[in-house]
Amino acid sequence: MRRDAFQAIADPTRREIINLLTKETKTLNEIAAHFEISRPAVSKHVKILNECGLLNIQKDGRRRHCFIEHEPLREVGEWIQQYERFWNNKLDNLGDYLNKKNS
Amino acid sequence: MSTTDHKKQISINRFYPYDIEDVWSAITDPEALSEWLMPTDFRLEPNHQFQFKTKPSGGFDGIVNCQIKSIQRPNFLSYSWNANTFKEPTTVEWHLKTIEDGTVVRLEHYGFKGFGGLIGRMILGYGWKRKVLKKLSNHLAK
Repeated sequence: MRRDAFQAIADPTRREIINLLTKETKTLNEIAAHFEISRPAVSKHVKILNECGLLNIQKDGRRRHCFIEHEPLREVGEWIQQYERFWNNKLDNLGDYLNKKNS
Repeated sequence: MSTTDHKKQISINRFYPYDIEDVWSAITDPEALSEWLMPTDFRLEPNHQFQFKTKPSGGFDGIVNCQIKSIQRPNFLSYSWNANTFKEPTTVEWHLKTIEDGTVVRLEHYGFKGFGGLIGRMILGYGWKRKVLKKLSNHLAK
């Protein structure tokens, strides 16, 4: 079966790993420290997330830095666009409200 | 507080042909806000915490949590603006200025930082399980 994002988030441990990494980049050891399960088990989940394209691993000597790339940045742009539309609508409403109140 | 060090991510100017006090009251009166913005328990008091409520959509639960930051009647009002989909609260600022026959309003909204990522948003959302199951059943049907 092909690995994809939906398979990645179907598991609670993997969802928790993604949540951890959306806040900041962590090493594999730091991730493992968050869980009761063994380091190899965490490592396996990280590997699956990597294969699903949700997580990148950078080797630095013996350390493995894990991070989620580009997705949050892209989303900031989407949110700003969405809120720009939202406020333009609401400022129109404000104009209508003032017209009505003062008519 | 200087705001020049913030990158103003949203800045919209509007002119309304009404007195600054009328506009100020429309952006600070809970009944008025509920009518043109969203239902709210807003109160014009320093540090007051309040909410705006709207329909949930996607991962957003429909509740905006806010707290008054600064009041300078009738020219300036700011509050924090936080949603369950945000990593950190954002800031909304209202700048009002009288010009000859009305008021110019400048709305600024900034502080949008990395969010939970698309997947993070799905996890926060109530809909993620349904989405996974739908995807899974599509997968199995192939």
